[in-house]
Amino acid sequence: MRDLRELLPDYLLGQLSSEETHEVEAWLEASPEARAELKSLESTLFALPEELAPVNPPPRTWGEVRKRLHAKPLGRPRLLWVGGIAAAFLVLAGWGIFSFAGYRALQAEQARVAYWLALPADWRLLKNAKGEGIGSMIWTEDGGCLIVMRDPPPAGKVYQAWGTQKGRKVSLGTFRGRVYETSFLGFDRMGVSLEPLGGNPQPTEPLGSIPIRG
Amino acid sequence: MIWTAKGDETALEELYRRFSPRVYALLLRMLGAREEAEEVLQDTFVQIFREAKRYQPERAGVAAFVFTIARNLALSRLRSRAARPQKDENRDLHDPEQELGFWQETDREGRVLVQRALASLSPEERQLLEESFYWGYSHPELAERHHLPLGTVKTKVRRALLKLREFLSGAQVPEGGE
Repeated sequence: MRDLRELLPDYLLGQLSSEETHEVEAWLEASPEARAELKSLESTLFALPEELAPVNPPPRTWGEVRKRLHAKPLGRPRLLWVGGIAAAFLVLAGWGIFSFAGYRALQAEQARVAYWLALPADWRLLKNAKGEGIGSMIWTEDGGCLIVMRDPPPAGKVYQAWGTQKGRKVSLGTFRGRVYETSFLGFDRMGVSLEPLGGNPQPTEPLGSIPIRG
Repeated sequence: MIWTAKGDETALEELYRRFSPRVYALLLRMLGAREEAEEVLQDTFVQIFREAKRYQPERAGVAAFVFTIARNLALSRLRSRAARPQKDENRDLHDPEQELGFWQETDREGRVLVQRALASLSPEERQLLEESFYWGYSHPELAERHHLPLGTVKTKVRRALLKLREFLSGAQVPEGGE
């Protein structure tokens, strides 16, 4: 049996496979010593920037920060949504460093969103029945689909992705985080529902869906 | 941080005063471009202000919180680029515009200690750890860049971090490093 302690540095650097990550996170959940070890390694890793000679930023920068704190949102809704999701992930990924259980998952989500943000793709807002934005879908020309939910599912629940083909709903898998990669090829509608762990053969609590390319 | 979480801009300004020179240095190192580093610096402090309520002091220090947000924002920029910047040892840090800044270094000893800790690593270990931390290279990317077996890269990065910790914790502090 391998020593999971050896995987902690790679866990911190976001270098583990998802299987290894789950293994490490289960260990962290169960072991206070493991959590202490992780915290100690975190401190070391984030001491690295201390090696650099500090550099004063241009004086205008603080003024720009203040302006942005008071700025009203401008721009197209879609871009704001994209920006909002990206910012939320980045910050949460930042915060994730302190939450061992979510750290790697958040980092992986962040990397995935960052990658998809750089692709030429079509963005659609996923709304609930009240018309509130609950997530977004990114569709690429080759049929790729990234589902990004605003919030993680509540405890004891998972999100389940669905494709609709001539009225027939096909499960595309469940996910516990907020980001899920799938494909929209062959479907005329893509949707997300909230389900118990393990998912359901048919959606029991549909959250929202989007027709494919209008 | 607590006051920042309550929306106190003066508290954020204090955080900015304390951390911006170090965060800016980190961003310059990661991004290699002043304009982009400045943008991400702004992003960092705007996000800190908006998300400060998530900060939990019992879990980690303020510095780690700030650096983590800055690093993740910068890594996101790097990932959307085709290439990472190269380390520029000759960068002129004495831009006349920057001379007007209000910061002065108060923790030179801390910086020297980390520099010495890094000097205790082999050049290869140091390079691999820094490229992983600053530029977000994955192990396979590092293996390709350095023409090393993947297993060797993993071992060296891991060992580098552990050696660094050992040095910084004072367990074995060699004079002057390697």
